[in-house]
Amino acid sequence: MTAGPALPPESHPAWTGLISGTIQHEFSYAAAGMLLFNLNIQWRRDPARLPLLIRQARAFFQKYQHLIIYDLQKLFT
Amino acid sequence: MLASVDAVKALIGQQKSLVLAGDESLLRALPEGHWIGGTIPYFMSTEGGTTSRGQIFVVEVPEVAQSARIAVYDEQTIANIGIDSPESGYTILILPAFTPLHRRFALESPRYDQQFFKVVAGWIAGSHLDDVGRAVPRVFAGPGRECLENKGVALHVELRPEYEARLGIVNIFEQGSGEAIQFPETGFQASQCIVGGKRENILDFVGRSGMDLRLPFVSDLCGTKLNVSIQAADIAGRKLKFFAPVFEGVTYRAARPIPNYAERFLSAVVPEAGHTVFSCNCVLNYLHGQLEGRHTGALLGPMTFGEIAYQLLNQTLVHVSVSRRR
Repeated sequence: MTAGPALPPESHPAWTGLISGTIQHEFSYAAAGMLLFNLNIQWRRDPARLPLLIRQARAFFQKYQHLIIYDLQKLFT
Repeated sequence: MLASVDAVKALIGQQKSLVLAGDESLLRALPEGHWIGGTIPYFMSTEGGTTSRGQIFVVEVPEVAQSARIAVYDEQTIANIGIDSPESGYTILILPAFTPLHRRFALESPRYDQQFFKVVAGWIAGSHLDDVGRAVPRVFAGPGRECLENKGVALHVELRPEYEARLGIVNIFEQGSGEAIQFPETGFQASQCIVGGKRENILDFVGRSGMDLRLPFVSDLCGTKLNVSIQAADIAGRKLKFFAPVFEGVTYRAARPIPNYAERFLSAVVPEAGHTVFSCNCVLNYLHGQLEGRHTGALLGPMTFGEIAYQLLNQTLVHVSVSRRR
């Protein structure tokens, strides 16, 4: 795993926006788009799972941040 | 590469770890060894699109692998595929078409634990299109020369720590400019759809929109375009059957028509940094794109009854490349 800059904490509002779909973003890495889309479906079924879904998204971004640098810059700056 | 049975036997004898695609009779003729395989007679080879019942498509595990483990999956264990896939490496999964396992994977894989965190690629084994309904798609596990028709087989490849695998999806289809369509139920067939908030019979939608049934429905998953291909129109039953499930709550559009498949692939396939260790494409692209004898670029492999890139895809090229970590 490639170490990179620290990601924003789970409390950053962009995480909620990404999961709930209020922030629309086209990811450059296929798995990122597929994961976020499925997390959004899970959130629509049960909004109470939001903290768990944010944790999953953040863990994915942490692992693959070297492949989605452009996306991270756009989402969190 | 395409190879003769004797050439594949020689590779197996050299203790190579292999992923094989070919006619059932050829795969049955192979000895025990560290290989997995699935039935299909269609390939994109160095000679272009090829139909062959006399050769096997061979992919070797790269030298930068530090281990390769074969595992067999059934309906109860397939949910572990992402968990079992190595943290640093990739998995090639082959499932037999038209089985309960194929169906379960298609419906449930987006929710499997770790599924998008690992590199899980693969394909759906099939048969010659002339034999659909008669021939049984099968997968093979080389260590016991097992020939399986209700189970799947995977090769989990762990790479040396300084290397990483990446999965790429090449989808030459885009959403067309037609109406957005949803489906009230998840499944491999649909009689009803929802267009503009109103329910409608799916064949009525096809009729009034003039949709070409050789083209898939395309969804947009946060930038990743995924297809659902149409298997058949059931006129008497007033429904469409699909090669992959449509999902309730997902918005689709009919694909924009493509005038020249081969050229579109050539322009769509961007050379990846690193070494391609796996690729497959869809037999519907082979068929509708009239790819026999035509080249679609450097990505070679079987033309299959479905592609796996974390989940089941249709009419898509999937590839895995390995490169040194930056």
